[in-house]
Amino acid sequence: MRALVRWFASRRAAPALVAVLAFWALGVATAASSVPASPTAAAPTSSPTSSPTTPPVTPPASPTAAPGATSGATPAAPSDVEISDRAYAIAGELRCPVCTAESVADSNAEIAGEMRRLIQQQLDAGKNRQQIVSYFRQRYGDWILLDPPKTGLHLVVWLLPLLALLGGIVTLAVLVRRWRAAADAVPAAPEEDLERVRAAMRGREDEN
Amino acid sequence: MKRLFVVVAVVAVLAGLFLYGLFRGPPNRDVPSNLIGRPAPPFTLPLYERYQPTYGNSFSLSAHQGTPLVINFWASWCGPCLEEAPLLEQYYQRYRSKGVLFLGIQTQDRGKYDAGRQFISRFGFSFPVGMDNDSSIGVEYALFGVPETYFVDRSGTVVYKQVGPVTPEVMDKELGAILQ
Repeated sequence: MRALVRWFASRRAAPALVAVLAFWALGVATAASSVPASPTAAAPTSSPTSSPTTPPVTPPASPTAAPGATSGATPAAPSDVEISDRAYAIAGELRCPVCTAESVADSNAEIAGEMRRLIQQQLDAGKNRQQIVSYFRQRYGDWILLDPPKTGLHLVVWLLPLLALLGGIVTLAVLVRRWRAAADAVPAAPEEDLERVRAAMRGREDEN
Repeated sequence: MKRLFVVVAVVAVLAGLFLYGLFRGPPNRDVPSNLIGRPAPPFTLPLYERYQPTYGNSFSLSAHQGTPLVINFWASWCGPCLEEAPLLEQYYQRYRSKGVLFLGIQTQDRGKYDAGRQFISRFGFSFPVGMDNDSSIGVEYALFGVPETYFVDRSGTVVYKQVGPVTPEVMDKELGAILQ
């Protein structure tokens, strides 16, 4: 333990720490760039909660003024649907389409609220978690999943940070071993110096 | 000294990668649509009153098989939707005689019927427009935001999706494609 503290206090600890941090940084950078998001393009989509270009919104009309309300076609989900914990849990797995790195459960965007209602409706209709996630996945693709699936190319995102961490630990272990071995190996003093010490010792003994 | 240089160089490269990962900005939503090359998902859209005498209370996609369609999603609060609205009407006037039908779908705008009516009046949309009040049609079409426009050919297949406002170039090219 003392040896470890001593080694840590020595300047040699710095490059080892740097090596671990570097591997970690590599893991973060690659994981961030492996998220299945597309490259940038002109896509000025906006959301009610985030768009700075949003023009003034006029006051909403009464829901009773619904066009075609009497037709009975595609009845809208009521806005006061109570969202269950189970629906929130499923919404937590899905990415809000108009947000950045925010789940459908967490977002205040209008589309996220509607998606929560759709999830609740589907739960009420007897569908299970897997069926509901599949419903969104069929439409949006894997993009809609906040956690990429642990299959195929997506495995890189899951494994690379672990491999990077492992690489850092192995590097650290190897470096510590090498430096400790170097510290333990005391170089033999030249015979000339030894003779001088012996002479000095003899002189001290004679004085006594 | 040489060793120090190597360590500094490696750390600099990795630090660069790390910073890139942190500050590369929000991911864009221009994800390739799953719908391209597939049949347009069916839906029934309640229409605004002014279109009901011509098209009925609601617009059913299945009732318009064989008609090339331009389906435009918009919202009353959306700035880019305001930008593209005059162009949509202009192109509808130009292409309606060729058998193309445009359809406006107000979405992500729950309950904002008055705002929708004002938007329609402001741009004088002569093509049918309705309200997707619970955004369920938007989800069916895997909408990321508004505006988004889908071009559907005579066979009912989605041939193109425009994310963001349409441009004359896009309209000319994609209308030509769905008319073939």
